[in-house]
Amino acid sequence: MSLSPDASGDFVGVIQLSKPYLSKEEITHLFKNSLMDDSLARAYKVKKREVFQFLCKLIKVLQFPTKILQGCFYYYQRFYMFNSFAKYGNAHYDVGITALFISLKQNDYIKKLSLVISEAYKLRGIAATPQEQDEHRKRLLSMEKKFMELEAFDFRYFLIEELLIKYAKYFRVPREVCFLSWSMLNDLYATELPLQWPSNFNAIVVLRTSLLVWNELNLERKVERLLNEREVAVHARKDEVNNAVNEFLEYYLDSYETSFMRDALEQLKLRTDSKHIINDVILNIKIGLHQDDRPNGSQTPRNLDEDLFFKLRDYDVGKTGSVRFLYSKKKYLDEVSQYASEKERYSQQKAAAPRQAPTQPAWKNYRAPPPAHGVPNNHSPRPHPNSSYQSNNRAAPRKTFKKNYQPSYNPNRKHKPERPFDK
Amino acid sequence: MSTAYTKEKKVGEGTYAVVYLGKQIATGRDIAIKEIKTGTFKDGLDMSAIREMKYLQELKHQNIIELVDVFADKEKNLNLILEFLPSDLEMIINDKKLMIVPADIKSWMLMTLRGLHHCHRNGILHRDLKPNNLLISPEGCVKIADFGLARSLGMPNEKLTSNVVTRWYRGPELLFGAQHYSPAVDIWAVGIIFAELMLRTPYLPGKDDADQLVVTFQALGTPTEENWPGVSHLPNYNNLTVYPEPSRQELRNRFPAATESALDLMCGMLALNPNNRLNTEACLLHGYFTESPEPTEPEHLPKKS
Repeated sequence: MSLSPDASGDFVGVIQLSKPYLSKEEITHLFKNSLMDDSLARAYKVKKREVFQFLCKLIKVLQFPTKILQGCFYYYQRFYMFNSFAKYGNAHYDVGITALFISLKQNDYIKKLSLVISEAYKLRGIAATPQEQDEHRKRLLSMEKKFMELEAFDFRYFLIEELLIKYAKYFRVPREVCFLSWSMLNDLYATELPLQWPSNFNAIVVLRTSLLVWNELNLERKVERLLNEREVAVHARKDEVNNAVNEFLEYYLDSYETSFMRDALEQLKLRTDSKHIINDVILNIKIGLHQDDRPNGSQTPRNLDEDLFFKLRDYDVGKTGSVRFLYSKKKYLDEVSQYASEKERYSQQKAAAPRQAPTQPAWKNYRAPPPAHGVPNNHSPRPHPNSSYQSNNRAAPRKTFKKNYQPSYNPNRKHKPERPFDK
Repeated sequence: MSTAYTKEKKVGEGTYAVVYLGKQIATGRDIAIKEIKTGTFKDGLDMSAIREMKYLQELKHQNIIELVDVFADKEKNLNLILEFLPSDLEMIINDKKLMIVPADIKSWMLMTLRGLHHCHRNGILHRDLKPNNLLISPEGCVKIADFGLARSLGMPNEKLTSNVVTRWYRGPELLFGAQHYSPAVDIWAVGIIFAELMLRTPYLPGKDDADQLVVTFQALGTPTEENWPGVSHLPNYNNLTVYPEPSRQELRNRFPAATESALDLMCGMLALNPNNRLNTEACLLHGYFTESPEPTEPEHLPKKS
């Protein structure tokens, strides 16, 4: 996220890159900003669990499929990553219902918001007049706007459930393990894994975890199925998958009693007592994962404070200008690097002539010096009028290259070219 | 308004958006701005706007309209910057001054099917194909537009609404109220557009939903359990007059300019049973596209006068 110049050269507009997935480090940083202290972090955890349980019940009452939960929990967690919990902490039910409503739209389930609100009231045992409900609806709609802006109106979305079914079929996972993994997937939605990883990776994590749990519980009926994620084009490192499985299992240490996995184990007629599952099954798997694990490569810590994206969201930031949403990192970096140099140049010129107010922003009059011989000219402040919008002054794509390419030597040509020394 | 674009004149207004013409300042490129009304709906951002953005963010193809940029202005309206496409296939069909030759029809069909193939191989149904939504670029390229009714294929057990596609282009399974359908609904619509291009008049113009059934089956025959097993279980399959399927000679008489392979392709796209209908790949590999005449180059296609 960055500020962009307007026609007068003032940096009042905002350019925002859509980032559907964040690293663990980025998530920790964002939650540190929004939750501020330990007491708020504890309150967030309690309220999150309360709202998630409520949403599960609401989805059941409204007869929606459980796949709705994916978007619902994702948006809920993302909201509190970018907004202060101190400010919005008491609106946790509103945030939850709005997240559900957006998830419904995202999944093509058209339901009236007023219906969702009235069912939510019934479930919470609150009596409200139609007027109060209408006020509530307006409140949720203004919250929906915030959600949409936060997500950069990015509606690209892939269901983990669909991929899980595909992978389970591909790897011929036995029926009972499929059922277990399908149930455990609903628990995965409540973790931070969907915030970090795309759906194909998460589908593999669920399958792997359910196989480990199954094998730990059924020593005599072990499923020796090798899941090779590269076969289904999930190119993740082994330690990344192991860390994700470990993080997923961590969820059960706290929430096993209310989990979907518990219900699934019960239906599969397996041992479900929490002492056995946590102490013997989950901890055993975690120990095994640690033995396999490779140490993480040391990463240089990034200074996230410099990036506007990692600050608490200020919805007034684009009030005087506009907020542009970009979906390609390359396009974003190309544009932002231009703005940075323009801003620097503009401030330098302003400092050099402080009394003379420019009629036009300085960067508008800027002309790049002719490039030195053999040096590509990457300093043009604006893309060349004839260049393609997407290419942004970079080398032409391969297709154009091929079209324009004239080989100097062609073995099939009939006549040899005349060479000066042949004469 | 973003400083990267100018907004010049209003060219249209729909239920959820207003469309303006404009320019991209940096490049001077013509663009269309779709300003989505965010505050006027009882249920927030309209589903059509969400669908349009969702699928245009995913689909990038030379025969699909390009989403250039997205921004929210000072008034918090959402603006979609789309490539500027000055005309559409309906304008061409209705412009009687223009002469259309079979090679032109082949070229338009080829570009439409290429765009549609890209949608279908990515699991997306358009569900509103009609000449009006096949826009034409200044260079003559056909681009599929208006993804406001589009949706992804989803799970096999998922129920879909049959109230999609503009009536004249609605496939028989939709007319019968089927809640499970496939990309074949889009193929039917392209088949009807193909017929319309050859006739230069709408092929099956039903006055209402009931009349559409009659018009469709009068032209192509009434589906029965023999040629479409299971059709009698569809919700609106009742009290139907059984019309016979048209003979080859009747089709030849109706489409005098069509070659045999053109008729083959059209019949393949207009098979009553959706399971027997050609898919985009089979259409694109059809002999019609390789026989003479070659499709006209886009830049040489007739343009709106």
